[in-house]
Amino acid sequence: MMAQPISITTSKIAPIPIVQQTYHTFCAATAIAEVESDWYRVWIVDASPIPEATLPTLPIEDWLKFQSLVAEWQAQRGATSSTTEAAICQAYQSIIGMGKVAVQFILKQLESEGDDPDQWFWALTAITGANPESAEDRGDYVKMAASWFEWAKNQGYAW
Amino acid sequence: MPGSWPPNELPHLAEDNCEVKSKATKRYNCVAWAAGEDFRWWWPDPMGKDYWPLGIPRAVTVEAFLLAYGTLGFKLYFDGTHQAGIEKLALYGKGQAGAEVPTHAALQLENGEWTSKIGRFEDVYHKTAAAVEGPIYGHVICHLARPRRPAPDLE
Repeated sequence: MMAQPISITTSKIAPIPIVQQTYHTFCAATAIAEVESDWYRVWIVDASPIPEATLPTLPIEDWLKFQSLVAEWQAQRGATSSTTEAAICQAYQSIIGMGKVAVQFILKQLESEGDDPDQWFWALTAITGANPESAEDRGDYVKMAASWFEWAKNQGYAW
Repeated sequence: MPGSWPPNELPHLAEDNCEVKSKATKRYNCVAWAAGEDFRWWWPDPMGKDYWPLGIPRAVTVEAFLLAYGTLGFKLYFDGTHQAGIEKLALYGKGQAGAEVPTHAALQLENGEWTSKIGRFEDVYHKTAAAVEGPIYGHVICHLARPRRPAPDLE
């Protein structure tokens, strides 16, 4: 019989019922030890709390405004191939107008887009004045995104 | 609707004249696709974020686009009819006649049909160059051509 996960135990917190497959997967991937019988499986994980200082403090209203503008921008730009047209959309310009607070949001958005990054580079440069991409990477958004992440880390941005 | 683009922007694309050939992606655009590339975005943006052939003016003008494709051997040509041994490209634009602003490019396939990348959406095969005309790309403003080379794998 397949062992069913029923609890997670650490040295620091009380057992937590496990009911979700995602948690199952997470535990299986992060456990430092595992004990199982025919009826249960227990993963030992390090549940040390993340120090507060490492978590960015997000201004909620700005975050919501950014999310709303991203959705507006996607609608406004439609199927244009023109970076210029996409960048002069009202919503995109409003994101630039949010200023430095938008940088961490853009970085997070860019990161979430993975290997299909969007055209956030105009906005990042407009806000920060930086141009970390190399000339030979122009138009290669994956490489450009990587350059921006490296630059942002060096500048102390958290996202 | 055959793809994920806003249908009102490409009203002539339909199931019977268009075949989606890729997933939607922002990795490349129509200008790159017509140039045979699928890993970077081509555009003469003034901020210099996108790829544009070195030495060609970064201006959204017909002349700059002709020069850009000229780096690949394309030259201004009479029309987009299907001719064996000639690879053709259609350049689209919007605006006043004689002063159109380039918006889109499509490449003719060996069988006479066309292929386009639709903005940040999918790339498609379409039966005629006119199939992607409409409010977003305007109309075909000129054609370019070069001797057809061994076909790159555009699929």
